[in-house]
Amino acid sequence: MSASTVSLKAGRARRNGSLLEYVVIAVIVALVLLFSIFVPGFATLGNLRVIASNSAALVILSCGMGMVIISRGLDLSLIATMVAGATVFALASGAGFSWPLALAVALLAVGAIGFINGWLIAYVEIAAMLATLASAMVVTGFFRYVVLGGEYLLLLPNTNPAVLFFSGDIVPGLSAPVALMIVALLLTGILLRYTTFGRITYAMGDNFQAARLTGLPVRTTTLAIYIYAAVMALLAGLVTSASSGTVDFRTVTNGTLLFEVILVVVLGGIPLRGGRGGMRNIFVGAALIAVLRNGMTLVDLTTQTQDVLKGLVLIIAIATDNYFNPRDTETDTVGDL
Amino acid sequence: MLPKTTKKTLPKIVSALALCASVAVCAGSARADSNIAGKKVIFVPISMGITLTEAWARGMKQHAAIYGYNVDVRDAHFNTGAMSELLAKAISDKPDVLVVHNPTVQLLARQIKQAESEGIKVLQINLQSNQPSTAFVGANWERIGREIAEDIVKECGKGSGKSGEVAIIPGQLTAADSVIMNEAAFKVFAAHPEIKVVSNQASDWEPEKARQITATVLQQHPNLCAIFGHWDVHTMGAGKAVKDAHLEDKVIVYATGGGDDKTCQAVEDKILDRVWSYDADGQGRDAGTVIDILLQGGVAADHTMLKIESPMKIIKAGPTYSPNLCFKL
Amino acid sequence: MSVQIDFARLPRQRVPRFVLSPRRVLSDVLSKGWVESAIPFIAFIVMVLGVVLGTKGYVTATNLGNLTQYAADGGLVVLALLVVVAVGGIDLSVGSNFAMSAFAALYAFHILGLPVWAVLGFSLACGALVGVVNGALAGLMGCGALLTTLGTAITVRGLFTLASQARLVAIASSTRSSDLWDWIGFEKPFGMPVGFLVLIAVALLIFFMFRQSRFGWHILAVGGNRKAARHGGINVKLTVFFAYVVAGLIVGLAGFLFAARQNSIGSDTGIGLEFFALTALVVGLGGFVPGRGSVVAVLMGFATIYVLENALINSGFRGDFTEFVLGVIIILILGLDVRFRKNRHRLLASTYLDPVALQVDEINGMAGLMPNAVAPKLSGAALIGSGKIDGPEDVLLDSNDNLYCGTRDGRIVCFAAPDHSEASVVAKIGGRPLGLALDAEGRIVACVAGMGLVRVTLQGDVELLTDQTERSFFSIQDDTTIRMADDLDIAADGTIYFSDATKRYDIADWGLDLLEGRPNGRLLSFDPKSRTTKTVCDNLIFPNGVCLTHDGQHLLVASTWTCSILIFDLQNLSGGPRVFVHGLPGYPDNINRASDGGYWIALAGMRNPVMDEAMTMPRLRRRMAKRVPPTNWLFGNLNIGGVLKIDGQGRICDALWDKPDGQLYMITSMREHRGALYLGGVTNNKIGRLALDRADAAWTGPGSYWKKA
Repeated sequence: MSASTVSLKAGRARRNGSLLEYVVIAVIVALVLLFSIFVPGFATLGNLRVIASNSAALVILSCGMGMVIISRGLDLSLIATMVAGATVFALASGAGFSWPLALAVALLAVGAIGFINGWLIAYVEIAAMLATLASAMVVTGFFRYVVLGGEYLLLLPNTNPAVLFFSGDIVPGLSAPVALMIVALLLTGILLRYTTFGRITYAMGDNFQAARLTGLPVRTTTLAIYIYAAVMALLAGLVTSASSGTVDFRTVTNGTLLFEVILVVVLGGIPLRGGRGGMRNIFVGAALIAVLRNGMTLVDLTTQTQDVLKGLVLIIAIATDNYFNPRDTETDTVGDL
Repeated sequence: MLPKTTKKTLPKIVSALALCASVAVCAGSARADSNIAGKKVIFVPISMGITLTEAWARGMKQHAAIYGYNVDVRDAHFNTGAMSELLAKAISDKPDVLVVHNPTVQLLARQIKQAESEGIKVLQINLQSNQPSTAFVGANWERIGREIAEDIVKECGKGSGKSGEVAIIPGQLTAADSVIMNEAAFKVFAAHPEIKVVSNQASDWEPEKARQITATVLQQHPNLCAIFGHWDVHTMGAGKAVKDAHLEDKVIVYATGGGDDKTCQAVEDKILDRVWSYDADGQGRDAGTVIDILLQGGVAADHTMLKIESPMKIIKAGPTYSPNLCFKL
Repeated sequence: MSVQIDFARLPRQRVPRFVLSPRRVLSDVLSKGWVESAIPFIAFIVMVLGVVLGTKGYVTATNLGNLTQYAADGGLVVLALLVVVAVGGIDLSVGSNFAMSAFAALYAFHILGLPVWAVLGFSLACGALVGVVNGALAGLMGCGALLTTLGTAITVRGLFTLASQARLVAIASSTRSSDLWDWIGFEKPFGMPVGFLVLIAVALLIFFMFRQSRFGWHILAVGGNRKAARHGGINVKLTVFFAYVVAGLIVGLAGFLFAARQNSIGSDTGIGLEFFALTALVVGLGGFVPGRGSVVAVLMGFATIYVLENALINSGFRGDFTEFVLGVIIILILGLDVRFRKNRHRLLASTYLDPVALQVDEINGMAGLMPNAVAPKLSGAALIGSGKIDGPEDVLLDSNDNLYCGTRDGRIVCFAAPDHSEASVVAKIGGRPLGLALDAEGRIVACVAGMGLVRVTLQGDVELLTDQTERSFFSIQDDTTIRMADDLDIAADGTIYFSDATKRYDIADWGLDLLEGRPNGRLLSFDPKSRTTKTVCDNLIFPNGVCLTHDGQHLLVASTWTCSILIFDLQNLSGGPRVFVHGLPGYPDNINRASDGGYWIALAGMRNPVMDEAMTMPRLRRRMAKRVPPTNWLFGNLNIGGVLKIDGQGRICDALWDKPDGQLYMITSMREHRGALYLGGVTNNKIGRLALDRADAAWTGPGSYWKKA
C-alpha cells in the first residue's frame, strides 16, 4: 500500500513539476559514466575539486539569476555588477582599507546597483530585460570611466589578504570558492523555501498581477530581489578575481558568461516565466554545464566546438522541455518570451 | 599623469592645448624648427584602455607636443564593425597621417588603399594588413612564435628529461597574431616529434577562462612542461592555475606582450616565467618618430613600405631579470 | 395660412470660424495615434539638434555619406528584429546570423567564385536557414523565443568561428574582385550608397507589408493577441514561422552588404549586434511592444542611438564614456516613455473636457406659462407601448396613421394604426436611432448616432446614406465622421438637412457637452441626387431639432445649451443663422410643425438658476468634473417634461407640462397628427398621446410636407 502511494505521489509530482530536471539528471549521469570510462583523468578526486572550483562563480551567479527569474524578471546587468563589485573591492583594499571595510564598501556599491535596477523595474516600470540591458551599459561605462580611468583590466597583487582568503582553503580540502558556492546555494534555498520573502517571490513569478492585487509588497520585494542578485554577483566577482588575479571588464562585453548563467538556470528547470524551481534546479543545471565543460576541455575540443555543442544542448533541452511541458502560447502575456 | 586625466573631461582642442602647455612647462624643451605644427594625425585603435594602445597614444602625443601637431584618438571600443566606419570618417577628415591598428590582415585593407590613394599617409601599427601602405611599426609575430617555440624545444625537448607536453593558449584562434604565432610555433614543433601539443584552446583573451582551461589540463597532464600563452594578460590566469596546483617550479609559462610593469610584477610573483616583450612604450616612440618623419615629407627611397620592426626584450626570471625591462604607464 | 417670416429683421447669431483653445489642441494631439511615438521623436530631434550644435565638422556631406553607407546593415538588422518583435517574439540570433551570412557571402565569392547575384542568393539562403530553424522551434513547436534564439545564437556563433577559422586565410589571400561587388560596396548612385538605398527599399517594403499586405496584417494580429488571431482564422504557427524566416532573410541581406563593403570578416563580426538592435528598437518603439509595426519610429530610434554613439566617438570621447552616456540616455528615454504611455490616457481624460463661459439669455415670453402657473396638461395624455420600447427619441406618423419610433437597441419600431397597441420591428439598424423623417416616397430617413444618416423602407430595407462630411479646415482631429447625427428635416427638393450635435462626444457622454458649453456641433446637408454631404454651418452649440418652416424657405434649428432656436435662410445658407426664439425656459430638443402654422418645441429638461450661473464659470465646471462623481454634478433638471407651442413669428403661445411625478419626463420629440400630439422621450419607455382641443383634425405631418408637391 505504501509503495503504491509513493508511486502515485511521484507521478503527480512529475506531472506538476518540471520533467526537464529529471532528463538533465539522467544526462549528467550518462555523461559522467561516459567521461569516466573514455577520458583518462576525469574520474579523479583532483578533477572533482577542479570542477567544483571552476564552477563556483557560475553557481553563485546562477543563485542570483535564479532568484530574479523565479520572480519573472531578468538581470542582464549581472556580469557588469560582478566586475564592478570586484573592482570596488580591489581598489578599496588596494587603498589600504582593511578587508572587512573594503567588503562593506563593495557591498554598498553593488547594493546601489541592485537598488537602481529594482527601482527602474518596480517604480519606473521599465521592462526588466530592457532596464538591466541599459543599466549594464551604465555600470560598465561608469566604472571604467570614473573608477578605473579607462582601463579594462585591474591586476590584483598577490599580497592582498582578501585574494589569499578567497583563493585559499578554509579547511584543508575545502577551498573558499567552493565553500562560498555552498553557502550561496543554501542561502538561496532557505530564502526561497522558508521565508516570507521567498513565498512572495514565487507569488510574483506565478502571477504578478494577482500578487500585486492581493496586497503583497511587490515593489519592495523587487528591490530586495535585485539587491540580492547584485550581492551574489559581488561574491562571484570576488571569487573570480581572486582566483585569476585580475578584474576584467571584457567579461561583460563578450557576453558568454551571461549566456552561460541563463543556460544554467534554464537547463536546471527554472522556466523563464518564473514561479517555479528552486535551489536544486540551479545545482542540477550547474552540474550539467560543469561536467560538460570539464569533459570537453579534457578531450581538448576547441572553445568553438564547445560553444556549438553547448548551443545544441540548449536547443535540444528546450525542445525536450517543450515536448513534456507544452506551453500554451495563447495564454502567455506580452513579455513572456 | 596630467594630460591623460584632463583629456577625459575637456573637449579635444582644449586638451591638446593643455597637453602642449604641460609638456612645454615640465620638460622645458624648445620646439624643433619645422613647419609641421598644426598638422593633423588621427589614430584609430581597436580599443583604448589597454596598456598597449595607451602607451602608443602617449608616445605619439609626446612627439606631437614637441612639434605642435595634433593627434586625435577615435576609440573603436573593441568593435571592428565600428572601426571601419571610424576609419571612413577619419579619411573624410583628411588628416596628414592616419595611424591604423589592424584587427585582422584583411578588414581594413580597402580603406587603407583608399586613404593612400587620397594622399593620406597611413601608418599601420602592430599588425600589417594585406594592403601595403606608407609605413609600418610593430612586432614580428612570426619571429616571436618561432623564438618561443625554439625555447620550448630547448627546455622540454630531447635531452631535457621532461615530458615534452605543451599547452598553447591563444587569444582567439582566428585573431591574426594568434594565427601567425601558432603557424610559426607548429612549424618548429613539427621538426621535433618529442614535443606534444596537448591543448590548444582559445581563452577569448580572458584570464579567468585561461585559468579554467589550465586547471583542467593540469589534471590530465600533471607532467606538463610548458604553457605558451599568446598574451601576457590572459596568460596570467593560466599562471595562477599553475601556482594553485603548486606546479610553478615544474611548468614554464611563456607569454608575449607589451611589457608594462604588471608583466614584471607577474614574473617576480612567479606567475609568468618568460615573456617576449615587444615593448609597447618603445613602439609608441617609434610610431611618434615615424609620424614626425612622414609629416616632414620623408618616404622610403623606392616608395615601398617604411618598416620599423620592434626589437624584443626577453623578460625572464633569473640573473638577467631587472624591473627596468618593463615600463610604467 | 402660413405667416411670412421677416428674416432680415431677426438678430444675427454669431458663429465662430474656428475654436482655438490650448487645452483642446493638447487633448486633440494626445488622442492622435502618432503621439505614441512622441518621446522617441522628441529624443530624435534633441539628438539631431545636439549633434548639429555640439560638434564641429561632423555634419558635412561627406560624413553623412559615410554614415548612410555604414548604417545600412545595422538598420536592416533592426528592421528584421521589428518583424519578429511585431509577431510577439524576439531574435537574439541576429548578430550570429549576420556574421554567418557575411561569411557565406565571402565564401561564395572568394572560394566558390560564384557570380555576384548567386553570392547574394547564397547569403540570403544562409540567413533564411537560421530563420527557418528559429521559426520551426519558436513558431511551429512553440518553444520560448528568447531561449530558442539564444541557443541558435550560441550555436551559429560557434559554427561561424569554426568556419571562418578554417577559411579565413584562403579568403584573405584571394585576389578575386568584380566590378559589381565593388559597386555594391562603394558606389553611390543618386548620391546615396547602395546599401542605404537597399535599406530604404526594405523599409518601404516592410512599411507596406504592415499596412497593405495580408501577411503583414496577420503578423500584427498574432502579435497583438494570439488567441484572437486564431479565432479569427489566422494560422498562428505558420505566421510566426514566416516572420522568423523574413527576419532571417533581411539579416542575410545585411550580411551580404557588409561582406561586399568590408570584403572581410573579423572574429567579432556581429558580436553585440543583437543587443544594439534591441536597444535601437526599444528606443524607437518605446518599450517592447508586440503587434506594432512602426517602421518609421523604429528607424528613428535606430538613428538616435547610432548617430549619438558615432558623434560621441568622433568627437574624441573614449569608448567607456560613450557607453556610460548612451546607457543613461537610453534609461532616460525608456523611463520617460513608460511614464508617458502610462499617463497619456489620464492626461487626455483630464484635458479633454474643455469648458468655456456661456451666458444664456434670461427666460422671456413665459409670463403665466411656467409649470407653477398653469395646470399640467400632459397629465391627461394616454400612454402607448408602455414597456414595449426603450427610448423613443423621436416619433413619426405616416399618412396611414401608423406610428414609428427608434429605440435604444437600434431598431425602428412600428405601432400599427388604428389602436397603436402592437409593436412590430420595421428594421434593425444598429447604432442609436434619433430623429426620424418621412421623405416624398414614404420612406423613413433616420439620424443614427454613431452611424450617420440611414434610410429605411417600410419593407425593412436599410441603406446608409452618409456617414462622413467634409473635414473642417482648422482641426487637429479628423472630424469627417458624423459622430452624433441628431435630427433632420427634408426640403421640398429632397435635400436632407440634419444636425450633428457634437463632434467631441459620443451619445453616452452628451451631458459632458453641456458642461463644456462650446460650439461643438454642426448643421449638415445631404443631397440624395448627387449623394454628397456638405457642412452647412460648423461650430453651432449642440444643434438638435431641425424643422423646415411652413413656407419651405427657412430652417429652424434648436441650439440646446443656449436655450434658443436659430433660423437659416435656405436661399442664403452661407449668410449664417439668426435667432428665431431665445430665452426658452428649458433645453429645446426636436422642433416640429403645428397644424395652425406654428411650431412645437420639445423641452428635454429645464434650466435652473444654479446651472445658468455655473455655465458662466468654466473653471468651476472643470473642477467639478474632475473632483465630483458624475452623479453629483450640477445639471439641468431632466425630471420634468414639457412641450412649448410657438406661433409662426416665434412667440410662445402655449406650454404643456406634465405633473412633477408624471409619466412623461424628458420629452425629446412630439408630432401633431390628426388632432393629437404624440410625445417621445429619449430615456422613457413609452409614447404619450394627447388629444388637442383646437387643432385641425385632418392635418398630418406628411400632408403638410408633401401634399402640395
